[in-house]
Amino acid sequence: MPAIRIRRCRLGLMLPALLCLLLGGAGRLLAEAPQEYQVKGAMVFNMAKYIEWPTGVFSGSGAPLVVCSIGRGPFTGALEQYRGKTVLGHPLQVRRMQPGEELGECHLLVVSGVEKRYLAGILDQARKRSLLTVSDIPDFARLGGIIGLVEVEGRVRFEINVKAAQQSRFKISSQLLKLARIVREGE
Amino acid sequence: MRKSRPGLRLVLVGSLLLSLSCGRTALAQDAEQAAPSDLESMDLEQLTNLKVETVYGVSKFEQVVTEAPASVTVVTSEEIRRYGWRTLADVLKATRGFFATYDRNYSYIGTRGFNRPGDYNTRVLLLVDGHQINDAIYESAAIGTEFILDMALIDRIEIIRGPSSSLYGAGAFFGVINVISKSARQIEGVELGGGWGSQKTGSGRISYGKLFNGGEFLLSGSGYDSRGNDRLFFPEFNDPATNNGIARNMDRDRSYSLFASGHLHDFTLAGALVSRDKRIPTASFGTIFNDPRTDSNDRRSYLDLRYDKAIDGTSVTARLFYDEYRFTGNFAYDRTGDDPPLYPASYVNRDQHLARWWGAEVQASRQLLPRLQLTGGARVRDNFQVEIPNYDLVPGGRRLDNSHENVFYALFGQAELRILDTLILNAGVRYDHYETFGGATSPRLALIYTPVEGTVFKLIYGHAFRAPNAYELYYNDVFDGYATSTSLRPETVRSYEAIYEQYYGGVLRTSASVFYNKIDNLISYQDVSPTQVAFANIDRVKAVGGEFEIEGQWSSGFAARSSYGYVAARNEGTEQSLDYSPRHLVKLNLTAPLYRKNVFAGIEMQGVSRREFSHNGAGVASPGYLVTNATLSSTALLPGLDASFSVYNLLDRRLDDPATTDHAQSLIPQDGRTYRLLFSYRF
Repeated sequence: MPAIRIRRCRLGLMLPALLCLLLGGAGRLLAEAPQEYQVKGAMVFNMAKYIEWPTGVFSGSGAPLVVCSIGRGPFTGALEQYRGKTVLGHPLQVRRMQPGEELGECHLLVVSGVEKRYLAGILDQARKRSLLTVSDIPDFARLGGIIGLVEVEGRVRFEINVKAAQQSRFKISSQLLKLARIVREGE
Repeated sequence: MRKSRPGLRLVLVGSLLLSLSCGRTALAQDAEQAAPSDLESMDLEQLTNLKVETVYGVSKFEQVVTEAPASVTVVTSEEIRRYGWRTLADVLKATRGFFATYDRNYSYIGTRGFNRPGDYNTRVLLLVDGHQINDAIYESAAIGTEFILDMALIDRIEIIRGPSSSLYGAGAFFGVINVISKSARQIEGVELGGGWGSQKTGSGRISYGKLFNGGEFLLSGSGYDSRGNDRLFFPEFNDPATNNGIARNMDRDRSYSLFASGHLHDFTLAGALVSRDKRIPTASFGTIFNDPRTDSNDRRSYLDLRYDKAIDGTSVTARLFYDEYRFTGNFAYDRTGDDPPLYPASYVNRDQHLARWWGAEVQASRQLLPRLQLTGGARVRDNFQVEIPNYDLVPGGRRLDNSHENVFYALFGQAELRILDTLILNAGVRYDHYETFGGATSPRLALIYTPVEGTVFKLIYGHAFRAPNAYELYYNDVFDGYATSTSLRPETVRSYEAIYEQYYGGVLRTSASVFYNKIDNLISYQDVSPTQVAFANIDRVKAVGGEFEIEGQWSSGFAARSSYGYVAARNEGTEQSLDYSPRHLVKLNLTAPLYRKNVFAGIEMQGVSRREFSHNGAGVASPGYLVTNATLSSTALLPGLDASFSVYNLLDRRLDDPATTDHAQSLIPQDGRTYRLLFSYRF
């Protein structure tokens, strides 16, 4: 059946050609709604203003606020654009970390896309250093993180573990708490 | 002689290169898009009220995918909806390096050149939220309409290629399919689902999810009924005595399933049940052709209680489970000279199998040194009731009782050592102990190298085993058709794999891999006499192959994925190509937004090359095919309403899958063009 075989080959060639055509056109269309991680990045940048940081965490008024991020994926990338912007007078620094790396200089820790078995260790380390932890891992606040970002009907919402925040000596403004679902650990 | 066709291969490779190069241009265009800068000036309240474009696909699970000591594919609920996938088999058919065959009763997974119609997928481990679905008799991974979870309740599926026994255990011989269910957070309130399709197919579902202070729960029930292909024609039975080869109304498929899950504090309780009835139109096992008494019922259920807690930097997961599997197979036979003389002219022979088991598992993970993450655990399973009797449904007829029980336990550990910031060594080992044959050790070693962000190389060595299952060890019927062999040893596979993954921004991803598998002591059917078969450790297989995939996802809503897989599998015993093994697999999946990211078109094409096999002493082949499916789907066109319309086998191609020697026919016809309309409404 050589005729059929040839036809099949030609189809095989047509597939990627078709793909090519469509992909070429794809980039030209503009997005209508912002991407999930652009919003999450903006939230991290903005929420720092709604936090009363423990005294003495910044060495001076113009000292940098170090945002560290653990995990691969789009969250880290979305934070990059806020590098150098100032929050409460502190210029923002963004650092990528690996699980297990020393978190000594971080103030805010963003955790995204890491496997769950790493989480307990990361949270333990963050707690010891009084870091503000933010993550979009499901149930992050319940599992001991401070601020969880959850998707509810296409919108990004906050879940806050008040007890964890207090333990790490953070005061979260009522404005932020009003927007969040309050989560107790172990719930 | 089985010759490859270089022409075809050349075309495929060329076309993939073409799509790769064009992908790069598309990427460049995407980067030119302006980033929305007004986001940073918004306050938190405005941000929380913003409707966002959710990222789906692989990028959300980048670490899972890149740092896993395996080649991993993540399939999301969005893809399931946009491509109209009806079963797990549909998902696997669209997945790089996988295919599936259907004997019009069960679906069989093909991967890495390996597909054994009739093995009930005993070499792939299927999990739902980490709970093992493979049963205690056939160790079957049910991927057809007999799968335990409605497709609408799936949040995502992680498909892990290669032997993963070191972490997952005995069944993970060729890979692991981990299905993660939706939680109440994704289905809050009541959701109604319904479907209509060709072959008088209908389905319905009602789900209810609730969040409350301290926990959440989800309840769901589904029903499915299909008349199936009611005029299947089998030329082997083309005789007036057997209805001219037409199996009339013999393809009926009915099922119902229930699922419940909830968590309270650190505990998660889940329960699931599925019952499926399927008529068997193929007259397999020498049954009477076109006799509606021949059918099968599979009923699988479980309860699973899980405890998750982070205790001083240690992640602890403990699990307690109870499982049940019932199989009822009815097989209609004509009386022959070998049957007792007082038997009626025709009668039904029945398999009525029941397995019950419970078990427990505990796993802990801790960062021991700054660069060392250790995971360890233990598992015990008690198959306290395994009954596989076979009898004739004739008063005073033949009966063969067959009961067993066994216990097994396992210990496992895995170390992830970050040698350098760019280099991870992942070493795992598992020891399983079975009452039947003793112990088996499965090591796995992987090096994961990320020289720069976005580039990942993996080198993997894995050794896995599969314990002979109760069916292979003990099954016999009243005809004494099986010579049981309790001395079966486990099969083993040694696998070597090299993977190169490249990410181009958040948009494109390519993956290339080569593998070499060496399988020893493969358990196969063997004829011991003209009327008796036995399972024995007879075959040795060597398989060499490679896969290439390109995947792209644009903020405009376009998504595309294309892959090519090649494998040469050789049976060392017969010194021939491995039966049922296609050399080439081609896939293309394409999603395009048609209207405001509310309406999408999804088109997929799957090509499987010719499969040769021996059938009742003759060398035969199923021809290669290319099948196209198309789906039009919409989300939130009206508030709460999702709908999709799919056409399967769009070009109405004739498709055939290979049959086993349990069938008189060598090829099993698959469906021509069919349709399905599916909707869900939440309020």
